[in-house]
Amino acid sequence: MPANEELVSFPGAQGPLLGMWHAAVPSARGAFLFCHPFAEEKKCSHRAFVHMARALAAAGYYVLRFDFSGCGDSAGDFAAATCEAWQQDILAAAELLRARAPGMDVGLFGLRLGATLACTASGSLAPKWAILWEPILEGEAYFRESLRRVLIKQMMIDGRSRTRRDELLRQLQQGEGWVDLDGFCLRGTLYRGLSALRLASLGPPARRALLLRIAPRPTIGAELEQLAAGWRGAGAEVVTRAIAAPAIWNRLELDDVSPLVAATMSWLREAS
Amino acid sequence: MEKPVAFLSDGLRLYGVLGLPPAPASRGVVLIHGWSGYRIGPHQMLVETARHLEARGFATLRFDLRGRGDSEGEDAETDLDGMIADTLVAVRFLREMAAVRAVALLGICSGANVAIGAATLEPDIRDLVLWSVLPFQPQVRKSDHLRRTRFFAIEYARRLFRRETWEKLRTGRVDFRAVRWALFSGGGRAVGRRNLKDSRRDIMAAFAGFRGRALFVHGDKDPDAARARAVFMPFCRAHGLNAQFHLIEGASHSYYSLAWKQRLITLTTNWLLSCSTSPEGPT
Repeated sequence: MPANEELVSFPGAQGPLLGMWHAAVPSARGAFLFCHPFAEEKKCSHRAFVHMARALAAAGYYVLRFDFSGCGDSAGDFAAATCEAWQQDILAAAELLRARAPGMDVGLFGLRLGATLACTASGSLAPKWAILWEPILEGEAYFRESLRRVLIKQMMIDGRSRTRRDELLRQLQQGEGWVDLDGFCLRGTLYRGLSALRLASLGPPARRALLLRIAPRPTIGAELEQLAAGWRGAGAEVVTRAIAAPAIWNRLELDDVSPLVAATMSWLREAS
Repeated sequence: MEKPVAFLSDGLRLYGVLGLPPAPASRGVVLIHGWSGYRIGPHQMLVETARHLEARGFATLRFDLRGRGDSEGEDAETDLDGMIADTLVAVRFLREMAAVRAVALLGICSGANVAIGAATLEPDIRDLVLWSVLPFQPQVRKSDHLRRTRFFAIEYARRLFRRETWEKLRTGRVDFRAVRWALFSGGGRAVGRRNLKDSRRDIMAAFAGFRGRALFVHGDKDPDAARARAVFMPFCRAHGLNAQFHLIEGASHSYYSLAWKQRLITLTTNWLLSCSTSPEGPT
């Protein structure tokens, strides 16, 4: 039984945050902070995060995974969450990571909106590595897509959708508005903070970055290549890769994530 | 107050969160997630339910079954009997940690089947909350198996004809264990070997003798609801089980809306608070 994993609780923006600490198994090479994706995508991809963290720990990296305020097992109400609170949570988690792995090189790992959020907080962390799985490039486009999915699901269950996407967006753009995003109360405050995120407007999140595209038919795509080129221009070493895999953040089944983990570990061996 | 915890089941370390009410609890609830989920449940509904119950005086434990969430164990080797064994350990753990004797089980989807399986092995479990329970595998009609098998066969035939599959075969990068699992278990619905969702025991036969109370809840837009109710309603009547059946109007299998979730939590809490069959009597 590897006793190198331990649930931890530490102070966050809106109360105690719950996290999982993975101690490095052989001699330590660095320490990674994981940022989970948004809403139900977090639940769907949780086991993939566990597999990725265990692979890193087995290769000698400490890992801290944690739940943002109002998400998962952390304190707080999802309806009260804000983008700023989540950014503060990342800094609070980074503090714990630094305290438990003093003097270690730091890496960021994130999936979808978690990857984007990790990049916004990278400035004060000066990470050596950033591993971004299918990062969300534009917050606003992400929410347009999410709302579309909610309406399609309503259509499939009810045979009709109860409202229109533009109407939902209007509710979110107003001061106190909120929408029911598949059982999550998405408030305008959170929506406005996250939808303003644009990855291309941020500098490179680390000295070395992996941009991993995950799609059934993997092509890196012009937007991701453009982002990589921009970050390279700013002095970072950036690798883009595309892996054929299902959308692990949006599936009810447990998928085999070993190709994603293997590609990531192979990049890290080169980049460390 | 919530506290992260870990305990051992069959030598595997399982992780969870223990919730304790402000005053000492007299009753506890173990929450059980579905087949491929983890302890927070769909749209975090198990967290919200646990907190709602904690505020009303229940001690709670939500935890990850083996091979799921943060817990140890292989994803593809976890079966219903293992999940039931984990749940019985979780019940004992909650009893000890919260100093409660009466423990109810609340499960969603396959987690509700796990709850039934556990209650048939532990007579002190008297209250079962079953959200979107499915018929046990022997009750699943052959046509469902055929439909699913056909789907997986088509899916894998498609993959077989992709160039990268052959490339992987050539370079030896195919994980044959994973392929075998995917082909022959179909995510728990085995074709060529034992079904992971099936028990070695006849759980329904044992459930006929259940002497506690059960609350069955389904969404009326859940495609599995009619099939499940068609199995469990006559069964409970025939065996004189103390069972209540509820439908949440408009709701899907996993209750993906704030209103459905709220109705489900309120219904469940009121039912648990009204329970009078716990060994210590009503509180």
